[in-house]
Amino acid sequence: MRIAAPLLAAVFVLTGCIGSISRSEFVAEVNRRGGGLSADRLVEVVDQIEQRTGPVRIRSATISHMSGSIRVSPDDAPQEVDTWSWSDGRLTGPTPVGNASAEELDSYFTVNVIDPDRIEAAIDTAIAQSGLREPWADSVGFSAQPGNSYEASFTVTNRRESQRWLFGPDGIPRRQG
Amino acid sequence: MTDPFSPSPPPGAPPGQPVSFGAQVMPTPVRSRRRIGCIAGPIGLVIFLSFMIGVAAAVMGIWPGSLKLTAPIVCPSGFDDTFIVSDTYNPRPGETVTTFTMYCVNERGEARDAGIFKPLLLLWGGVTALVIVLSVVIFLLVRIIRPPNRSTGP
Repeated sequence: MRIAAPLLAAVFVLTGCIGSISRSEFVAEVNRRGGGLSADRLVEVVDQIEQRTGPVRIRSATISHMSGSIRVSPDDAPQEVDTWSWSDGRLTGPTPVGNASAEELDSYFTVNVIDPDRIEAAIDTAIAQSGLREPWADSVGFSAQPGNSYEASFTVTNRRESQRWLFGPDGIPRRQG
Repeated sequence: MTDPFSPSPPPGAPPGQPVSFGAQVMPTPVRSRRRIGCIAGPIGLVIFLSFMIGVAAAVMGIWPGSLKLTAPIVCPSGFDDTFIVSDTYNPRPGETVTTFTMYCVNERGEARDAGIFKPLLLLWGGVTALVIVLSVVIFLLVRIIRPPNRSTGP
């Protein structure tokens, strides 16, 4: 018993160093796997917003690994633009956007245009076609286009260089520049 | 003259014994023990379970990777890898706060925050069950190795 107790304590102390990683190590692991960008959370956020405000028109959106933001207008007040943001599962908003531009108010898209599987496939295809070593996708930006459509842009990057990619609802990525 | 409203003890019964009015009445000391047991049992159970919450929290604090044991239940399908991420803050000089977050990750790097409450709750249940099982096993082993003395007649 006199030997077992200190030994057990030593095992616990040593194993306390094992089993958890730092935030930077976690981000590095996520990037090593491709960045983990997904539009699932964007669809969930729009559903949550519409439960509070009714149907909305999406003006633009940006999604990152665990956070994002979106600018929407309620269907019953299309000239008003509000910003919502989310991080680690928490949704905050709305924050009114003052003096929204006419260009922004011209176009919008709705949530049923967003196909998360197609978006993920487009990102994964771009990563595979980039030719970069250990690449990942950083964030995806969605901007509304006429006719209930959008154009998505994102960056495929590694520690040395970056490439700009675009795709639309068809999910076919094309490199820009 | 005897009181007609005071029942007399049955013939041959020693004085001072509880008197039956038709329904059988348990001796007073046994009834008190059962009453105490009915109160002490649930209280003891609550104390034990509360203590095990502290044990589970201590296990998690010493070995954060223990939360990964709950991944098959907590993580959605397709998110097969689990990471326990520690974040350290210094809210005030001399004060350090470390938080642990459990993430379920798939092969694309997509992560879902599993939170801490549900994994800790499951860990608590597992540790409690383990303690109970070990206690029963040890009790049975002791009974087998050192059976209770049985008194035999002359």
